[in-house]
Order: sequence, then C-alpha cells, then structure tokens
Amino acid sequence: MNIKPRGAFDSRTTRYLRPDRPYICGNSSQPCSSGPTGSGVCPHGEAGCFPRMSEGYLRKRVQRSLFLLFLGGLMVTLAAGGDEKGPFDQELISPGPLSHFHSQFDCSDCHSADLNSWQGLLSSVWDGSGDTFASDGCLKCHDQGPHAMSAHGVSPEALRERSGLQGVAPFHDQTECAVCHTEHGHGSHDVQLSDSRCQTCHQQQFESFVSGHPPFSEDFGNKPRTLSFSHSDHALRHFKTMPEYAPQSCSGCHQLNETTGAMTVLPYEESCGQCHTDDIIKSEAVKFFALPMIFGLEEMKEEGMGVGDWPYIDILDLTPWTRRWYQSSEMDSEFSELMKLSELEGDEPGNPAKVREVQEFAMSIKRSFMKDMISDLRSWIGRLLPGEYSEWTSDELAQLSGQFPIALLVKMQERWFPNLDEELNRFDSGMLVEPQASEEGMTEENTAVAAAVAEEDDLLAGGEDDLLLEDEGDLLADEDDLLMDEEDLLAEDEDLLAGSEEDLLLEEDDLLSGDLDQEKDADKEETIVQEHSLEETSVGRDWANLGGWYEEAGVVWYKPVQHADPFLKAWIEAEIRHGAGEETSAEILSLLLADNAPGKCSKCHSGVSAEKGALNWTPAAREEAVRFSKFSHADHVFSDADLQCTSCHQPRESQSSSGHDWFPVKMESCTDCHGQEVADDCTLCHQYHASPGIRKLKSASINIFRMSEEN
Amino acid sequence: MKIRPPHSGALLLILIGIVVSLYFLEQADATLANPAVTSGWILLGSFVLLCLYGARKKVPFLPIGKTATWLQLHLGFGVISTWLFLEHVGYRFPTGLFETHLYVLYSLLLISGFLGWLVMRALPETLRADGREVNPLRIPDELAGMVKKSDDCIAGLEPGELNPEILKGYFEVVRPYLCSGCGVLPSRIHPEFGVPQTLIQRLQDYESPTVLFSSEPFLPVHKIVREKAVLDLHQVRQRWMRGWLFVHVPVTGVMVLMIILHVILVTAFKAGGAQ
Repeated sequence: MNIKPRGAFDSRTTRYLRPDRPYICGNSSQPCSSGPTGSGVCPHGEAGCFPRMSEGYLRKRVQRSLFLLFLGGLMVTLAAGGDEKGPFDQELISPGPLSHFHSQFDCSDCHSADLNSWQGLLSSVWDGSGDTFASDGCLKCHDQGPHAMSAHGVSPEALRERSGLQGVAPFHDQTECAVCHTEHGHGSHDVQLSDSRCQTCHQQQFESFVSGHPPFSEDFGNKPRTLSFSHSDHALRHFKTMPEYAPQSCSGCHQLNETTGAMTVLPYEESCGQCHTDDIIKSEAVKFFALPMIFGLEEMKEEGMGVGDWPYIDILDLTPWTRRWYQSSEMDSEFSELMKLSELEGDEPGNPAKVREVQEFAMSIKRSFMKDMISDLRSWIGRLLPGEYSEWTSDELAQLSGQFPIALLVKMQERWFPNLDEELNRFDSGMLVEPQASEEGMTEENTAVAAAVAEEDDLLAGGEDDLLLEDEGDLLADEDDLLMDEEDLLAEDEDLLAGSEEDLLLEEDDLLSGDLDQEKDADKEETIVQEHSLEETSVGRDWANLGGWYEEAGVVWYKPVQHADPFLKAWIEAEIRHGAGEETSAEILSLLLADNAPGKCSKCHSGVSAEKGALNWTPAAREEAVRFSKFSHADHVFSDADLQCTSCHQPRESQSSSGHDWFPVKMESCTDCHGQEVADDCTLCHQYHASPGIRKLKSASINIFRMSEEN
Repeated sequence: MKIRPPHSGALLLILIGIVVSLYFLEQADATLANPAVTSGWILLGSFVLLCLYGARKKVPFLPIGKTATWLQLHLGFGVISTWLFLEHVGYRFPTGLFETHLYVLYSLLLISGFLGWLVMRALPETLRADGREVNPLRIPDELAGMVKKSDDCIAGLEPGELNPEILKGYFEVVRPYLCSGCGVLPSRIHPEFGVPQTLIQRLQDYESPTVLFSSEPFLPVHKIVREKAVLDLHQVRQRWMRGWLFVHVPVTGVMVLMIILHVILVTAFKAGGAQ
C-alpha cells in the first residue's frame, strides 16, 4: 500500500491557521513559521509584511501576563513593609470592616497572635481542622459562664434535668459562636436561628403551634414568686377598709418596662410603701455587737487579777457578729470555751486558775478593741465578714459597714474602757489593773477604784523607805557638788532680786485687786438659776429614733433607716453569698430574715431565702435566671382598652400551692388573638441563649484606648 | 436571533447538582456546622471540575469522553457554581478588599462564561443562515486567495478596458479593503451592491459605485468583494464566539491563585481564637 506523506495536511506546513501556530503573515494572512524580528518586520524580508500573533497565541499571552502580573502584585503588596508587617497589618487580606461594637479592637484581641506571621499562618493551615472559628476570642468579653459553648449556654446536666430525660446521657457537644454569629460584615447581626437548627437536637417534630406543640406547663405565666403578695387578700380585705389606697386598675401597681418588655411592679414608694413604710421604720433594731458580762469584778480585784473598767451589759446575749469578731481577733485557742459565753464568772472561790483565765480573756478583748481603734473602718468591718476578706470590694465593705461612725467607736471606748491604753500597759507590765470611778453602768467599779488607790499609796509608802536606804550613800556623795553650785546660784539670785523687786511690787497690787473681783463673782454665783444641764441628754435609741447606729446598755445597735436599707440588704446578701455552711452565718440570717426581724424584709421578699440560697429581692432579679422562652408584654399591651390583663391572667379565689392567685396562662390565650397561624417559627417564642450571661460583657483585657501603645 | 435550547443532559446535571448540594447544606445547617464553610468546600469542588474542562482540551488524545460531553459538564457545573457562589457569599456584596477582588473576579468569570454560552448558542445559527459553513482557521487563507484572484482579474484586463478612475479606485480603495481585517463589529452591507457601506462611501471620490459595479470588466472583482464582505461577517462572528475567552480564560488563572490564598486564610483563621 502506497501511503502518501501528509504533506500539505501536516499541521506544521498547512496553509491554514492552526492553534499551535503563534504568528500570521502580515501579507498573506497565512501561518508564519518564525514570527517577526526584533523590529517587528518579516524575518523573510517580505516587503510590507508585519507578522502578527494568532488569536489563540494572543489569548495565551494575555492569560500568562495577567497571571504573572497578579501574582507579582500580590507578592509585592504582601511583602511591602518587610517582616514587621504580619498578616494582621495587611489591608489586602482584611476580610472586611468590623461591626460598630467591635471596630475598636485589634485582630489579636480576637484571633490568636500566632496567626500574625506568615509562618504561623501556614502552620495553622497544616494543623487546623476545625469546622469553624474558635470562640475563645469572643468569650474574652462575652461572659457566658462556665458552660458558654454547651447547648443553650447551660450545663449539660442541668439541661438534661430540665428536659426530663433522665435516662439520656448529658449532651456534652460544644458549639462555636461563629456557627450563628458572623463578623467582618459576613451576614446579618440579627441572627435568626432556623427551625432546622433547633431540630438538630429537638427531634420531636410537630406541624405547628396548634397541632402537636407540647402544652404549656401547669404554672405557665406564674413565675416563681419573689414577693409574697396576695391580690385577693388585699382586694377583699385591706382595700375595703382603706379604699383611698385601692388601685383603680392593674396599672395602679404594675407598669410596663418598655425597654425590656417586662411587666414590673411599681417602685416600693409608689405601691407597697403607701401603707407599709411604718412597719419598717418601727421595727426592732439589730443587736449588732455586745461584749460578755463579767460578774465578780470586785472579787477578781481582791485576788489581784483585776481587769480594769468593764461595761455593765443589760441584755446578756452574745451576738453572732461578736463571735465572728472573736474568731478573727486571733485570740488564743484556750479561750474557745469562754468565747461562747455571754456571762463570765470571775468570782469562783478557790479556783484562781479560772479567775486568771477570765482576766486574761478580758484583757485579750481589750487588746483587740485597741487594735480596732488604731486601725480603720475597712479592717474593722473586715473582721466581721463571712468568707475571705480579700473577696470584698470597697463598695461592698462600705455598705456592710453602714458607715459606722468613728464617733460611736470612741464613745464605746469612753463608756466601756475609759483607760484602755493605761490598763493594757499596766497589764502587759505585770502590774495590777484597776478600774476607775466612772459613769453609769460602772457602779461596781466605784468601790474598786477607791480600794485600788489606797493600795497604790501603801505600795508607794513601803517603797520609799527602801529607796532612801539604798541611795543614801550616793546622795551624800553628791551633796558636796550641790553645795559648790549653791554659791553661784546665790550670786545670780541677788542680781535677779535687784532687777525685779519693783516689778513684783507692782504685780502684787494687781493681784490684790483681782482677788476682790473674784469675791464679787462668788456672790453672784449664788444667784444663778440652774436651768441648763447635760445630765439628761438624749442618747441611744432615743436619739437614733430615725434609725442608724447607736450604743445603749453596753450593746451596739443598728436600726433600719428605710425600705431596702443598704446595711441590712448588704449583710443578708453577703451572708447568703459567702457564708454558706457557716454556723455563724446561719445564725445571722435567722436573725435578719425572721418574721419580726429588723426591717421585716422576709415579710414580703419571699425570693430571699437562706435555705435556698436565693437572693431575688424583686421580680426583675429573675433576669439572672435561665430562660428558654421569651415574651414581651410591650408587644402585647398597648393600653388597657386594647387588651385587658385578664385576657390572659384569670384570677382565682384562693392561692395555689405555689402562692399564686392566678390561673396559669393557657395556649388558647395566644390563639384567641393570633389565630391558628401563631408561632410556627420556634424562635418567635423561644431563645437559644438561655444563660443570663448573654447580656453580660466582661471588662476584659481589651486595649480599647490603645493605652499600651501610648506607653 | 434564535437561541438553541440547553442540552437536556446539562439540565439534568444542574438539577442533580443543586439537589446534592442542597442536601449537604441542609446537613450542615442541621448539624450546626458553618454553612459558609460547607458551601465553600462544595464551591471549590465545582471550580476544580470546571477547570478540568480546560485541562481536558489539552489532552485530546486521552479516551476520557468526548469534548462535547465535557462541555455539557462544564456548563452544568457552571450553573451550579453560580448558585453555590451566591449561597457562599450569603447573597450580599463583600466588604473586605480581598473578598471584593474575589467577588468581582468570580462574577466576571461567571458572566463571561454565561455570555460565552449565549454567544455559542446564538451565533452558529446566523453563521449557517447564508448556507455556508466557514472554518475560521481557513478564512485567512481564503482571503489571501481572494486578493490574488482579484489582482489576477485586474492584471488580465486589456489596457483601456477600465477607465483610470476605476483602476485608481481599485488600487486605493478596493484592494486595501480586500487585504484589511474584519474588525470587531460587522459592517453594514449596502442592500443594492452587497458590499460594506463604508467601501461605497470611499469609492464616491473616484467613480460612482453604480457605474463601477455595473462595469462589465469589474464584475469579477465585485463578486470577490461581496465574498469578502460575507467572509468578514463570518469572521466577526467567529471572533465574537471566541472573544469572550480573552476574559474567561485569563480570569480563571487568576482565580486559581486567589482561591488558593482564600482557602489558606480561611483555614488558618479557623484554627484558633485569642486566648
């Protein structure tokens, strides 16, 4: 078979253009084998021919040039600024501006600083296998609590308990913030969770709100009560006797918080305070601090173990604060039994050891009291607190002290221990400590003082003889020196007498005339009317009838000043928060939360409970609670005329077991107005972030004002 | 202009691709995965498949299916890629510099691709309208042949057979036209003479076109000029059919570079937040 060579059909020699032929002849428009010369003319010397590129070759050249241009531009841009410019400083790769709230932050505030180098970036690509961006940066500011990345931001165990699925293992999977939340302008900030995302876990699916949705709970709409209040009791009993205080509608006591959409109770002064303020003002005072009474001070003194001045205490009851004061006063453990007693017996005959122990305990108390006086209010109140002193802030300490005045502390010292420093000095020097005659409440000490003075005279008399005998020789030896000096002194005296004699005579005349004036005044004093006297000054409770601190009968008292008294409130909160499990704390709380306690807090505030560790003073405090659903009264209540409260809240004649006098809200309340289509979208009524931390921002280490750069 | 309907296989592929992608996106949504990450990976996959079509053309000798089939795949994945791209960016315009570049280039790539598709569907019909099928690679050769043939016609005339004005018009207007390129836009053809209007206007300075084109010795040249006008029209349309590739192909190369950088950055920043 004779096969002809391809010849004219060979792609290299064909007259037609081929994709692999880069140039075209300028004259014949046929493929050019070698393209133009450097000056662009025909390499074969054909006149008027300027070979041009074929379309295919031109496209390749454009593609290659554009690619290299772009690559080069990219390299130059990224390399500009040298090593100091890491990825965080490259405007080119910035994914876009941050939202208004985040725009003041640096990249490293949210992203790992390791990524600010190209090497770190590439190694992160090599190592990284996460599905989304890590949430550590977000959680630096957005305090979501210890379970931030758990489902709904609550602990898996708590979630399981709430779900009622006790047989199911807790759901420990973690969810990153960036699954729903985006930044750098990536998507909307108004995040709306899709129903399918809810059903990732909630697999009990139903058609709609009216078809298959689980029924409302038995107490729906009746939140756990934080205020004990009976609507029916007030309406049927109290307001009948005092109609002037009866509200005309629900809004007489309730108001809508348009910011949060919650229905709240009016401030105390505008609601309960209309009738109940006197209950608080006239309530009992808190017996805050009292020392133990010591019996047998006279006998102790006779035994040579006096304790000096000691207050006479009317009410023999050691307060829990006093016990806590003992504990933080670093007293010897040997006094542990005495620290429990409100009465100390110092007159046990034949038991000097016991008397000595009482004496030393009493002096330890005085020493601690002395320490308090030379320190400050912060230290003093710090010794009366539960838990660790370092945990408390200045604000808390200020409220817990009730601004205890130094004048009261000085007054306590003057009345209880008038010679505190001298007594301690004498005791520490091994000398007898004697009480001084003083004011009321120290009648026992009066006789003791006299006896002590006599004893001191005896001591001095006995001591003088001994001193004379011992020192006689020395005194005689010094006598010659004294005589030598005497002549000099006499010579000086003559000069002084010569110069001053006339002046002295003149002064004598003046003194004589002064004596005459005094005699005249004495005559006048007999005629003064004794109208003014400080013996009957108002002290103690009589003075502090508006509330506050006072001392009476050897006890320091605090009387509530007003509703939500800062001092009482602060102590109740402090003991509940920090005194859990502490015996003294329980005692303090039983005092402050008793039915007839000072301030009568627990009469209404049932949300504050030592047993439950609850501190819900007001319904608003429930904002701190875990909430999976949301309802805005603001979206529903426009005016009383539009929607009556009783459309959803039906009153009941007697209170339920949970203390509510309302029937729970029913699902029909929603459908009555909204129709059958209500709430076919989960997030209309439910919210993912159940943890209250969603609304909290930590004052984190974000360098908002670029302080470190200025430094 | 009649546009040829898309291939049913491509439509089926688009449908399947969208359904499968939707399944994965729904899965991502339902498993609380980041949907942008999921759509990003699927988009990257579709981009690689789209690029494979270009690679396939480089190795025509491999028995891996017909280029026509590959083209249908390319077109199908192009549509899927467009939808995935919009899903990935969340149907919004980006704000970052890099992302804006990426967005604009990808948009340019997609738009040029769709325009190319439209052109490739619409123009072949018009090319066949005159009953001729012209291989664009042969057009330069045919044009060169026309110039030669025309020159031969003129050279074969007896002296004085054509008046000097006509000859001058031939050498100064008609012949340069025969040697010229087709341009980018199609010329308007004179309905009576079948040659470009611009040529008629230029010939007015030499001889009346009516006289020129009715001159018996000039008739063969007139015929060649009309053929050149038809070939020019074919060539312009051929250029249109391939001109969009001047945008589509180079932008694809740049996009490869940018997508690699994008993947590096996204993967790197996923690794960890500030401690």
